[in-house]
Amino acid sequence: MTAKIIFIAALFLVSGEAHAQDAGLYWKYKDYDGIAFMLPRTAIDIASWFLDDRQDRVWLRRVNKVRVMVFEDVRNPVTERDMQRFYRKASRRHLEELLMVRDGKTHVRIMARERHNSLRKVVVLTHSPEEFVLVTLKGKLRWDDIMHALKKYKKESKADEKPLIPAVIRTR
Amino acid sequence: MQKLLMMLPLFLLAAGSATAQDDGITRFFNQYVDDERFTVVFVSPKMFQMVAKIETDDEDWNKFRDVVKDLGGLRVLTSDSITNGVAMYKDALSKVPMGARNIKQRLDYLAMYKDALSKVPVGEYSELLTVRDGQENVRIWIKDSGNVINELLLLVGSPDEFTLLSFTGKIDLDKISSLSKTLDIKGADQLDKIKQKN
Repeated sequence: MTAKIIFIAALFLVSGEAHAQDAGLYWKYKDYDGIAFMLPRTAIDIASWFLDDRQDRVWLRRVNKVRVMVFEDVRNPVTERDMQRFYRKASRRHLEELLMVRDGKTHVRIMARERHNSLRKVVVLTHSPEEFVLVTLKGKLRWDDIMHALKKYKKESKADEKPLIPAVIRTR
Repeated sequence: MQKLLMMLPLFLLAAGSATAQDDGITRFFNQYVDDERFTVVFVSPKMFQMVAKIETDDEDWNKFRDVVKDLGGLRVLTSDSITNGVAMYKDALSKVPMGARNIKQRLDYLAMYKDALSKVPVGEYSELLTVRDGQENVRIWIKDSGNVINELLLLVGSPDEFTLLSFTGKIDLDKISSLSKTLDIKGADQLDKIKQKN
């Protein structure tokens, strides 16, 4: 009996750990006044039916889950403590930081986990006292998929190019 | 055996001092990383590795890829809203370990350890170029081992502007100067001076 209780407790602990990193933030704050939604694989698959380009469909089907949480025009409810906890857990779960930009009080971070030559998870996080954006993408994105997406993005955004680096540090 | 045991702390001390030297600029960077007057950019080695994996037929992208494929990381600390840019520049400059001079001081100070120290490969920055134009100061340092440049450090300081830019990895000076336009970061345009010098 004791062994059973320990086993159940261990299971709970493991499931708690599964809610680590971005999922932890998402589940804690999803009911706050903002936008929060999660697209499961089925929804993504259905969405892919409506795409004209075959390559786009293939690319999209490699995505298993998308999580988006946005707080805009309201005070960012995510506490500094939760952010620190998120970063700690992220590094423990092999989510590597790719890019970090801090401009004043605005932080932008892109993190990713790579395994067997494909991207398994990408997290884009922007937070400032007035704004919070979390986008998580889970799946199995290969480099040629990313190349395809980049090509397409480049074509589409050539007219209206938005720089990744904030204007304040760009050359005049 | 006793001699060996006595040598061990000396080696450890020397190795520690080498690490401390290397970390001078990192410490300086970390000191201001949360300062809101500064804008901070950090691109991790992983990002460069990932970029290098993406092959396209786009010429611009391939040029960029060719430059960054050997890079190990990029840190930028910049500000245009400070009033003590020159003082900060001097402070950062004092953190650059000028290998030979520092080793000498350390050897003088710890003469008894000089044999142990001489056996430790001490990291060394050598000055690539210095430009002083009015109150604007630009210095570029490199850290190399053999024919390979492992780190490039750019410091720009004027009364109202300060930029610290550090590239790590395997650096090709000709190629890195071409990044000045791609990066589009204040101060990075000074990288052009490397090409002019060459």
